Amino acid sequence: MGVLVLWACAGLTWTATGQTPTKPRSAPEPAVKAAAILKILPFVQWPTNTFAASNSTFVMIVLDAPEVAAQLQKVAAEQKIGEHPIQVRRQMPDSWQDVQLIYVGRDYRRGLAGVPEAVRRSPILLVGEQPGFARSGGTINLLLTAESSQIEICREAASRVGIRFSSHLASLRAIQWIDETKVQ
Amino acid sequence: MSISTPSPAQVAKRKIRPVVLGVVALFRAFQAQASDATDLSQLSLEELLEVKVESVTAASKRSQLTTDAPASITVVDREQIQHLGYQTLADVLRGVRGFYVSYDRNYSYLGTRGFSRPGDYNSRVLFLVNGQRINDGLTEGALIGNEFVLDVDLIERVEIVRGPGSAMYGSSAFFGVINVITREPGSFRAGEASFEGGSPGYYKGRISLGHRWDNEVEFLLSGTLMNRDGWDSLYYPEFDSPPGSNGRAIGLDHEEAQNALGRVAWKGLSLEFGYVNRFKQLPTAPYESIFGDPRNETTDMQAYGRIRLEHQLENEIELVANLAINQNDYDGRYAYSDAGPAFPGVPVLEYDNSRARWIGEELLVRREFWERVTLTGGFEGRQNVQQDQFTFSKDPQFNTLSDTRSSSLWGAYAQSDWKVIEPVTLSLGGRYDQYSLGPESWNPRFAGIWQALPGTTLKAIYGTAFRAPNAYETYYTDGNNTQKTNPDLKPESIQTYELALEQQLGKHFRLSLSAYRFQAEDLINQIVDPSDNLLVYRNVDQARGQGVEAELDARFGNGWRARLGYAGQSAEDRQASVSLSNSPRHIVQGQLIVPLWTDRLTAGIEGRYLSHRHAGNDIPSDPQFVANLTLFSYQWVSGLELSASVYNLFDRQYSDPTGSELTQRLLQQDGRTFRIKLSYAF
Repeated sequence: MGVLVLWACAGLTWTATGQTPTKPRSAPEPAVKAAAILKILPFVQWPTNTFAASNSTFVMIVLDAPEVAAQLQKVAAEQKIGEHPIQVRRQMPDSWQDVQLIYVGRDYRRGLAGVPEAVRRSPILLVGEQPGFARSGGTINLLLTAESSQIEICREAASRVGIRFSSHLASLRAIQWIDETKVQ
Repeated sequence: MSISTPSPAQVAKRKIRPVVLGVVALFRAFQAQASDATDLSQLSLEELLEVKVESVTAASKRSQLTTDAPASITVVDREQIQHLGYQTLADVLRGVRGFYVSYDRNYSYLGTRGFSRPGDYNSRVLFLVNGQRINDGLTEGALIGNEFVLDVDLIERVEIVRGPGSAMYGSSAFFGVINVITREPGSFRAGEASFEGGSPGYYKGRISLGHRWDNEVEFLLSGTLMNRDGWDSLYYPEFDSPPGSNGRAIGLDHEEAQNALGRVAWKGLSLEFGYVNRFKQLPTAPYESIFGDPRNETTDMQAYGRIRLEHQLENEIELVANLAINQNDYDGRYAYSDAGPAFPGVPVLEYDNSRARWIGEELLVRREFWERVTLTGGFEGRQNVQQDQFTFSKDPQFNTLSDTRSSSLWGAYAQSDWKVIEPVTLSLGGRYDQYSLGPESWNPRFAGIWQALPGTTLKAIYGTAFRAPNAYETYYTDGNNTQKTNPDLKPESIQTYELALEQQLGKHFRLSLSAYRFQAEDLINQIVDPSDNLLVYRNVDQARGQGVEAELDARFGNGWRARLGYAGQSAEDRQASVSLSNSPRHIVQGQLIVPLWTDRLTAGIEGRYLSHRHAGNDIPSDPQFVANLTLFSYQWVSGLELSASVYNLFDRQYSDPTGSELTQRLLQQDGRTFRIKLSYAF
């Protein structure tokens, strides 16, 4: 009987192999956050001269969010953003010249205040994951809980450094746009 | 022509070959699955935000990642409930590693870590619905079969938090906390109707309405009717002699239930109620009642309501205020051929009733300090305004028990989650409880959580818990006919040490390993007093247990999911050094969800193995292996779901140990049954 069960399992598994992907209903939080970042980036319009070349590296700094960094690193090995290969680092660099995104983990002790003012005036996306982040100078805030998930984007914080978002992103209901008037 | 007898080696080879081929096929399927790189990257941004983040709220009364929680956690979600054809909360818990359920044709009794005592109405596990305690005010237990307060179709996920939880929750969180989260009103289009039918004579209908408006007002209203005719004939050899009916209980397995759930919410304010009324005939003749008498029956009603306010102050202080009321009514009827000493030889129908109502209030405050420390503190009060028990007869008229009483308790708790250095978090918590009926209790919990590497989490946990003696154990008697009181009961206590490892293995696999050891004192157990042959609850036992639990979770981008769990455990009476009754040494559980045709048709296969258990007097049950199969399809027509399930697929015979209120020491369980279910979202 045990052999029959095993065969049934094997057969069903074999049958399932290669079927059309389904939509997962639940996933680890870092995986969802990493996927969300990579979904948003194609809709970001960077100022000219942001990249030295059309195929230069897209650099992400992930501060105190090792699980998110690990997820991004897995994807980085397989994907590009446009023509740009992805590099994920976990520490503040000496030079910000080549950095395009800083992810501020909820455990990053100094929060947004720990990001140098010069960086906050550079065309760098500041992505966070705690309430109020997009209202206090951050650009994108990923608020994911078991109960509900939403993404906040402060258009003004982005435009101050020359970053814009495509109109397609603006049409998505999943995004909550934070008005300049609400920025404290 | 000659006929040669195969050698033993050849026989063994023939037996092994199909197994090897099956394993190879499975391995190849795994390889093929592992090579796909789909997962979340295939979803649109909006679809991505519909994916539920795997987190848990029951461990620390706040939402946190399962890897951050100071406990070993399992979460069962709605997808698993649907695809595996679960019908009750008991079915859900049967599939969770280390858990097992015994059924006595009236109630379902949960066991975990090798511990499931006779006469315990699940009072050593705390049950919550959306964070709200639903254990009753009389037995301090909760019912988990068709008598559970929620229709299983309304469950979004079930959080299982293992180990002592008294540091946050007080009494009853002895072996764990189980939090049942209901579906969000916004998850309904406008409504949903479902009908299911099956064997034996089973049908259930449900209609639910739910909506969430743009102004964040949401509501959910749902009602369910269930009927199960039960088996026409059940055979019990213990009654296969005159004056019984040849051991056959004919047409005595009927069950019916009605459920309702309502919820209205606006931002942080919510109002919720739940209701269940369940009737069950008793074919087993408990408490020495007349076997085969159709008047033996129980009716259980539970209703709860609560108002909850969650508010975030500007200084990032989070406040939660909760006011709840819970009512449990129990009406049992038992037929006897002899009314006892007052009316010797006179047949009687005995009414065994209880009314339990409590009102509870809780205030919780949480604040984060220096972005390193999360401090949670709270106060909880509960007034058992009614803990009444009655046993009487109308003809002839007499009362054997009329016990009306009330009691109260309060508790204060605090927990600090302190990120000491980047990968290490210390969770320190404790709670003080004071009961009007008994002594005080103080219970700490310490946990060290080390995110050793990305994807690797190690946890070391120590905690204690207690369970106060409940009013039923303390004050119930049927006039010293079969059971007597014991007002001198003391609280039970337990201390537990646990080590846990959670390891992500590549993209698709996750491994959970834990090893634990517990020591329980003053356990309350129902025994027969040899001096008068009456049942009585006493602090007679000290138990110790140890075990290991392992679980491998697999999830692939094309909807393929699998879970394989193992628990090896040893729980024994410390004084006698003998294994506890109803305590299996080994439990193996496996679930497999396989898409057969895109994601519109899946097969859900579940297998469960329990090694033998003994029923308290060295009568062992046979090891049991039960398999279930569910085919589930949806969206062939917009909003339509259809499922077909076969339970106990191979029609295996198996038995569960019972409590001392039954003459039968082992009770045979259902053979093969089926269910077909249709659900339509409108």
